[in-house]
Amino acid sequence: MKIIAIYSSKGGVGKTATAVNLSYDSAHSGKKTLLCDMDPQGAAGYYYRIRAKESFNRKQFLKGDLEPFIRGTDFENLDLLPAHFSFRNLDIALDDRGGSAKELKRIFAGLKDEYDVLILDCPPNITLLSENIIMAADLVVTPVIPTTLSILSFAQLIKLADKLEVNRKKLAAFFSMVDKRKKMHTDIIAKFGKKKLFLESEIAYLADVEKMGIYRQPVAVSASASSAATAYKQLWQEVWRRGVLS
Amino acid sequence: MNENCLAYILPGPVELASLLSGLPEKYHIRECGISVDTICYLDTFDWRLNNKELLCFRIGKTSFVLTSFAGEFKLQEEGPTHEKPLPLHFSDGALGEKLMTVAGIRALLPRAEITRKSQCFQVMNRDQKIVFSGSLELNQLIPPDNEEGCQPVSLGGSLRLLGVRGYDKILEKVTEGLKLQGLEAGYSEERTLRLALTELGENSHHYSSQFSIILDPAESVILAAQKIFFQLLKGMERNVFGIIEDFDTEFLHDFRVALRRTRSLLGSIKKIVHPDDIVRFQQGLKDIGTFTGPVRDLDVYLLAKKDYQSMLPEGLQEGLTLFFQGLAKQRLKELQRLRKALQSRKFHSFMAQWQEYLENSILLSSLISGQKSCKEVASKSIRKRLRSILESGSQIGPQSPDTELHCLRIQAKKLRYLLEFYRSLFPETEMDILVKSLKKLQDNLGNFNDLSVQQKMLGEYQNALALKEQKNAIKVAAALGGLITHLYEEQIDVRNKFEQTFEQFTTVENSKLFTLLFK
Repeated sequence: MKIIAIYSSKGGVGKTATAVNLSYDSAHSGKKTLLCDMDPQGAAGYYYRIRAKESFNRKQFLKGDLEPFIRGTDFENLDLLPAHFSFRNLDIALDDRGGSAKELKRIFAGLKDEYDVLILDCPPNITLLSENIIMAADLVVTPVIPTTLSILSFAQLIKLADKLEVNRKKLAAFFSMVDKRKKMHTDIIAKFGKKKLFLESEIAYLADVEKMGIYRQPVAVSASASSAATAYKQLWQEVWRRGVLS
Repeated sequence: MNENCLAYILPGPVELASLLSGLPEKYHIRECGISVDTICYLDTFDWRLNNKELLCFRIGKTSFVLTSFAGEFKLQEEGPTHEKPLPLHFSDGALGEKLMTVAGIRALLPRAEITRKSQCFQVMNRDQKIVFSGSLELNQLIPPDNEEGCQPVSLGGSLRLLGVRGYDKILEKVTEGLKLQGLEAGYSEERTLRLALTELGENSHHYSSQFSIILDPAESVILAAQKIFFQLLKGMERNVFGIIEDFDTEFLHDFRVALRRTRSLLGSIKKIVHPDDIVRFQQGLKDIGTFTGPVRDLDVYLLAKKDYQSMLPEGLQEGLTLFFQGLAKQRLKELQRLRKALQSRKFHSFMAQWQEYLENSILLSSLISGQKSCKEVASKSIRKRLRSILESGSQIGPQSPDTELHCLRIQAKKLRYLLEFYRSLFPETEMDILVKSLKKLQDNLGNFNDLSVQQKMLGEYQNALALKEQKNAIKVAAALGGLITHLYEEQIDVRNKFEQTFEQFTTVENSKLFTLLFK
C-alpha cells in the first residue's frame, strides 16, 4: 500500500480538491483506494456525500480501529474514512501518547492488505501531526499556489523534512489554482517550476473545480470532458509514478 | 463500493416499490433504466463444467462469464464470436485457461437460452449518497429453434441487492422486510439453468463418455449382453449429430470407442448366440469402423500439433506448418465423406437392423450357454483373457518382433473392455486396482503402437510428396524426416520400458486379486 499525503501548512491551496480528485483517479485506474479525511472540517467526506458514523471519533482513530468506520463511496474501488470533529485535537492527543512521529504509521498499518493506495487529506498546520504525516507517507504532495506565501509554506515543509531526516525525494509539489493571466503566477512558475521537487502537472484556477461543492462529485464525474478532469488525471499519473519511485 | 451481494428468488413479475415498501422516508429509490440481455448457458456435450460445479454463460454475443455454483469465484471476459466455441478459441486470460483445464478439447454447446429483463436501481439517502443498489430481473426461456410457435416460458426472476460498505443497517432493514414478504435469499444462476433444463426436458446427467452399467450377477449372460449392447448403441447414436456438425473431435472419438466395445463384446459371445448373427453384424460394424477411421486418424495428428512443434528446431517449423495445413485440408475432404456415410441409407439401415436385433431377436437366438449366469461367464472370459495376456507377455523379450507387442495390446484392450462391462459384478475397490494397473500396461503398449503408426504414416506422406513434386515439398519432407527420427527414438524408449511395465502388471498382489475375483 502506498500512502500519499496531500499536505500543506497553508489553507485554501486546494488540498481537499486534490485529494478528492486524485483518489477518484486512483480508484478509476483499478487500484483499491482509501481516502482518509483527516481534516476536522470534513470537506472530503462532504464531496463524497459521506458522514462519519456516530460512534466514530478521535479515540477510535488513534486506536487504529479503522475498519468498522470506513464507508464505500458511490465509485468502484474507492472507500472513504470520514473525519470527525474531534480530529481538531489530534495534535494534542498524539502528544499525550508520547509525542512519537510514528503513530500514524502504526495506525494505518492494518490497512495495508486491503488497499493499494491510501490518500490522506491533511489539515493545514505544522505540528506533531504534520511530522506524523511526513513519517507515514511514501509521498507528500503539496499544492502550491504560485504566490510568495505559498512558496514559503513549501520551504517550511522542506525544512521540517530535513529536521526529521526524511529523504527529500518523498516530497513533491505542484502548482495549484494557477491563473496564467497573473504575472506573479507566471514569474513564480518560471522560477520554481523547473526544480526537481516540482511536478510538471499544474492545476489551473477553474470553475469546474469550484463547482465540486455544488455537485459533490469529483470533476471526472461532474465534468468528465473538462480540462480540470484531464489535468487531475495527468497529475495522478505523475504522482503515482513518483510514489512508486520514492 | 459493493461489499455484499444478496439475491432473492422471485416467483414472477413484481413491482420494485412494493418489494422495498419498508424503506424509511428519508431514503428514496432512483431507477436507472431497463436492459434486456440474451443469456446462453453453455456446457460440453458430456457436461464437464456442470460435473465440476461450474457454470458458463454468454451475455449477448461475446461476453462470457464463468462462475462456480456457490459463486465463490466469477470470471468475466470478452470471448470468441463462435456460436459453439472451443476453449482454445478464447484468449489467454484466466477464463480461457480455466475452460481449457475443465473442458479440454470439447466444444461449449448452447444448453439453454433465456432473455433477462433487468431493471437497475439505487437507493439513496438525504445526501443523495447511494446506500445500496440492485436490480430486479425477470428470466424467460427462449424455445429452441425447431419449436416455432412456442411461447417464451417464464422462469421467474431475482432481486439482487448490492450493499455499500458502512451502510449495513439500512440493508438489514430492507432484508427483514423482504423476509416478511416471504422472499427467499439464495437465487443463483445455476437455479435458472436447472429450471430451463427442466422446461426443455433435459438434465445434466444425460450423457457421459464413461461406460457404466449395473448388472445383476444372477441374470443370464445373454440378458447382460443385450443391456450392454443397448447402452453402446445409444452411445453411438448420441454422437452421430455431433460428428456430422463437427462440433469437436470427441464426438467421433466416443462413437468409435462405443463401436470398438460393441465389436469386442460381439466377438466374445461366439458361443452364446448363433454364429451367423455374429458374422452378419461384425461385418457391418467393421465397415463403420473403416469409414470413420480416416477422420479420426487425422484428428489424432492435428490434436498433437503442439507436441510435434516442440519436437523440431525452428528451421523445420515452416515445413511442419505446411504439413499441418495439408492435413487440415485433407480432414475437410474426409469429413465430407464421413458425413455422407453417416447420412447414408446403408448406415441407417444397418443401425436399425442392429437395434431391431437387440430388441427382438438376440434373446431368441441365444444358445444354451447364453442362459448361464453373467457372473460365471464374465469370470471365465476374464480369466481366459488374462491367462492369454500373461502367456504372450512373458514371452516378449528385447529381440521380439513389434507384431507381438501389437497383439498383446489388442488382448489387453479386450481385457479392459471385459473389466468395464462386468465391473458392477465384482467388488469396486479391487476392480479399480486392477483397471488402474492394466491401464499402465495399456499406456505403454498404446504409446508403442501410436509411435509405430505415426512413423509409418509420416513415411507414406513423405513418399507421396516425392511423387507429386509439390511446391515446398522439400521443406515438408525435411520436417517429416525430423519428426520420424524423433518418434523412432521415443519408440525405442517406450519399448525399453515394456518389460518393467509388464512386471508391474504381473505382481503377486495383482495375481492374487485376479484369482480371488475371477475364480
